[in-house]
Amino acid sequence: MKKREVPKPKREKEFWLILIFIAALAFRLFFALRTSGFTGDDSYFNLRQIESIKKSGMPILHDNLSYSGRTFAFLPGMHYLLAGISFIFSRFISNEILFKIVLNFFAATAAIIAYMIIFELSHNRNAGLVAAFATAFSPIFLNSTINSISTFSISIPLNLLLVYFFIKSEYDMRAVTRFMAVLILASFTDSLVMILLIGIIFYILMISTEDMPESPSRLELVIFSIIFVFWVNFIVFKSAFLTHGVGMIWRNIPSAISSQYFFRINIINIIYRINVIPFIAGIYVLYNYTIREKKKNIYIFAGIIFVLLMMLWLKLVEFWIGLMLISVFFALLLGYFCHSLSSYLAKTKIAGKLEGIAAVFISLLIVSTVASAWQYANSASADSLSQNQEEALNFLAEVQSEEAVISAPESGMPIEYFSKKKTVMDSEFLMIPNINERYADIKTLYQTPYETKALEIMDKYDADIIYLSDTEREEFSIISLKFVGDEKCFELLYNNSVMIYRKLCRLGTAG
Amino acid sequence: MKHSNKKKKITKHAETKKKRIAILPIIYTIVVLLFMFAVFHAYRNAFTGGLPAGSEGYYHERMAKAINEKGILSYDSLSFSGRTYIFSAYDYLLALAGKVTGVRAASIWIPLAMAIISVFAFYGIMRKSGMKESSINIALLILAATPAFAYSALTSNPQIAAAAFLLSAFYFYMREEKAAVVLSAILFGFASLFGAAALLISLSIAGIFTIKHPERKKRFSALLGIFALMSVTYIITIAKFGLLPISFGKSLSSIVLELGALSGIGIFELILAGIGLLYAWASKDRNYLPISMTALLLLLFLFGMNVSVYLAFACAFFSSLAINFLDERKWSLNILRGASIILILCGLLFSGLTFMGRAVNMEPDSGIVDAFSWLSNNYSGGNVLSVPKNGFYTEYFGMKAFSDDNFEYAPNLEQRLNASQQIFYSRDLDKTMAELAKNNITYIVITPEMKNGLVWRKEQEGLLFLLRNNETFKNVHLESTQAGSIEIWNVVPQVQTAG
Repeated sequence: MKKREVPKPKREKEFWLILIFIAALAFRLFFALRTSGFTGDDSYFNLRQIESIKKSGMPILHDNLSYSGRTFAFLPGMHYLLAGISFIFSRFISNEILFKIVLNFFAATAAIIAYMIIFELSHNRNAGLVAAFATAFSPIFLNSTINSISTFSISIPLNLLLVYFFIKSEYDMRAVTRFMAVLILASFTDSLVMILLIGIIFYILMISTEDMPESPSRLELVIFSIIFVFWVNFIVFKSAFLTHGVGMIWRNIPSAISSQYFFRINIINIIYRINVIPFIAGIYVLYNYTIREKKKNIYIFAGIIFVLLMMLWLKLVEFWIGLMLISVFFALLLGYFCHSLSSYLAKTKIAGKLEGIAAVFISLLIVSTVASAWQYANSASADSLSQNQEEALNFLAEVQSEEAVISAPESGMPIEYFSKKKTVMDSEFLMIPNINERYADIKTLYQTPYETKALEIMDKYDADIIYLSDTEREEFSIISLKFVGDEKCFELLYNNSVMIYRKLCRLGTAG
Repeated sequence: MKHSNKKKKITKHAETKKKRIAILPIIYTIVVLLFMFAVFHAYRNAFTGGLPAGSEGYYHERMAKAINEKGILSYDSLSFSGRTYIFSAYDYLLALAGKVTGVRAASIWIPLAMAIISVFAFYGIMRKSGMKESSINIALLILAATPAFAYSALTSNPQIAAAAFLLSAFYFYMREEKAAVVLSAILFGFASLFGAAALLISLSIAGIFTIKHPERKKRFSALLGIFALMSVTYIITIAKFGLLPISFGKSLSSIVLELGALSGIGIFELILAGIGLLYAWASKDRNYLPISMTALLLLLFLFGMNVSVYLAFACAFFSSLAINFLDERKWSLNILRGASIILILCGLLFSGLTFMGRAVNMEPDSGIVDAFSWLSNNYSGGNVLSVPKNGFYTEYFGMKAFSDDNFEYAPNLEQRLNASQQIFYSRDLDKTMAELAKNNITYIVITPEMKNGLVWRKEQEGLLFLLRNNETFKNVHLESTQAGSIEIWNVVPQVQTAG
């Protein structure tokens, strides 16, 4: 294994990198701390799991609340990490704020890793800084991680770190051990690493068709990684695989709403969402360095992006997850594009005006990226659980009831977290039998004008409380419930934009 | 002189020792197989009253009993309310063994015996083809733990018998002796009687081997004659009933254990086999036979044929190559080598455990058997309607099944499946009654599985709604099981009123 001399980053450039990191963290925290709630219902699922680990050392695997009793299958790496951090710091700071700070800190480290990757490939510090900036302010990555307790905050930096160590593993033996350590962490965080590995397999296929030799250490890493990651996922999700078979990929999402998660891409949509500058730059780099100049390490990005696009096209990966990964990898390629552009311009007659051109390019990049990032971050912050909803959920916690609460799937997890009440449905659909029927029943309940129909459905699921917030209004295209006119049968318990009804009667047999 | 005798003695001793060592992997493999067999039957004896697992076994047991009673069969009066019997050598094998041990005992022991024979034959083939000793040992152990192979050894099915005959035949085909040639021809002939897939595979394996060994051309020509003779059974069936419709696109769920296929192959073995295949491809001249046979098996699998047992042998072979490759390769980091091999072994072990955990709980349980047994005691004629997979139990207890899982050349198959759908899902009582009367259905058996998604997803869906009409349907029996109740409904004949 040849040892390669890599120039060390200069202090001045490190200052700029730290500045980008701090700016990204500050930007993230500005939006995250504007609201007390979290965005996305799975944040509340994660909160419950973290609290359970902190309390008992074990996550909730058999839950009495979700779907009025079910089994969970998930990778608990992030939950254990956050439970540990909370154990140390929760005396000084509330869990909600602590998790927002910690997760945004992890997510912002993606910028540093992006710098390391592009610096490793190009030995050009400016290119590294551009990649760091574009990754730190990647709009979709921000949107998914800024105000959520999401595994992506940790797994995206970990996956980037895997790419970095994989690139280095060609000549540095220490990178192999580091790759393995990061792989173990990433495998227990979420399943994104599987996509990365499939991308790397494609990379190996591509370079073998080009007759490029691959270092033995990399091949060994790939063999070990495939075996390890499959092993972990098949053990953790064994029951889910047995229940759903290949359908496990689509997470048992009810067919009526699966189009919200998996939809076919069109290229304009992708360009719009990941920003036109990184897209064009990325396509140029992929074309130039895989078809014309054939740079082996660029094939890694080509393999991953090709797999992601194929998976998106075949609807094998959720649209937002696929797009988030693509946008991060295009941000990296933007950095490499800058390296390529500056090397080219340096050889031309306008070499003397390079700094001016760079200033224009960077200004353009900053304006377009930050504007887009601001818009997405704002929307993530605005989509968080509102004060009204939080108050309603706290009220629900005081309501005495042994039966379940009916709500839209997206309201299920906040209800379980705040009110500790059983729910009929939430958005963790895995291993739930007859999911389509359940969703159809809930939809019918919210839309029916008939009291008997509503009672029939509530009796079927042993539910006595109906939760009506903006989520339900939007999901089922309603303004209010039509069947609740009879006060003897449905009592309005809470009314403050969110409405909570309790069922007082039961369907009887005429006699 | 004395010195030379001593030398001979030492050489002989060394040879015996070598032979003993060579036979050890077979012994280990058989011990693993016997251990699985013992655990499987001990568990089923304790929790299901020792009922044989899998519905297919009940069909073969019934046919074997019928052969012993009536001689050569040509008609099955219970399946699909009566149909032409499709010849299967396995039924005759069971019947023959059943004369000595009883058919029930034969259907338990014959699969195991055939699995052991196939292990010997597989071992012989690998040795004859000059495979490394370490690879042979690993391949045999992996084979024993492969769910598709273990399933065949633990349940009554013709596939393992076909594989045993086919592999033994090929082993003798590889040998030079004249007696072996004759024996191989006879065994290939027998193997071909176990189904069209076995015939195709026999023909291909001998043909591909002969391409690289032209000196065996004469033997192969003779073999072709035998294959032509044996294919007469299939030609007659095809002439009588036409070609079977080809069902393309079997899903991964029907071959990967972790995705639901009980008689499938574990995901780790598949990954390993993939690595082994790539490794074998590098020296494809040497590995032409396993590579081309695997390609053929995959093709047959895609065409909807049941070739999982044969795939188990192929996967075991390629997995052993992969493990050997990973073990002997000069790793740049030894920790990766150790970790990878440990993970692979754990993965294979987990696949085996997953299989055993599911296999011991296979259908039927005592609830199903008790329910059908009750029905047979109170049966007053007509067809029994349930899902096709319960058809073999219906027939086993001497009643006519409206449909069963043996779709091959079933009479009016499409019409019957449509009628079942109509009856199960319609809420129109008149239409349902007309369909029941037209098909002479007198009993309906509903299992908990049918209510939990196999047929219905909603409580009052289709027939479940109509069953509330107690003038038309009478609930004659309720058998409680752990999963819920098995319901037996009698269709009350409607009195036609004049005018």
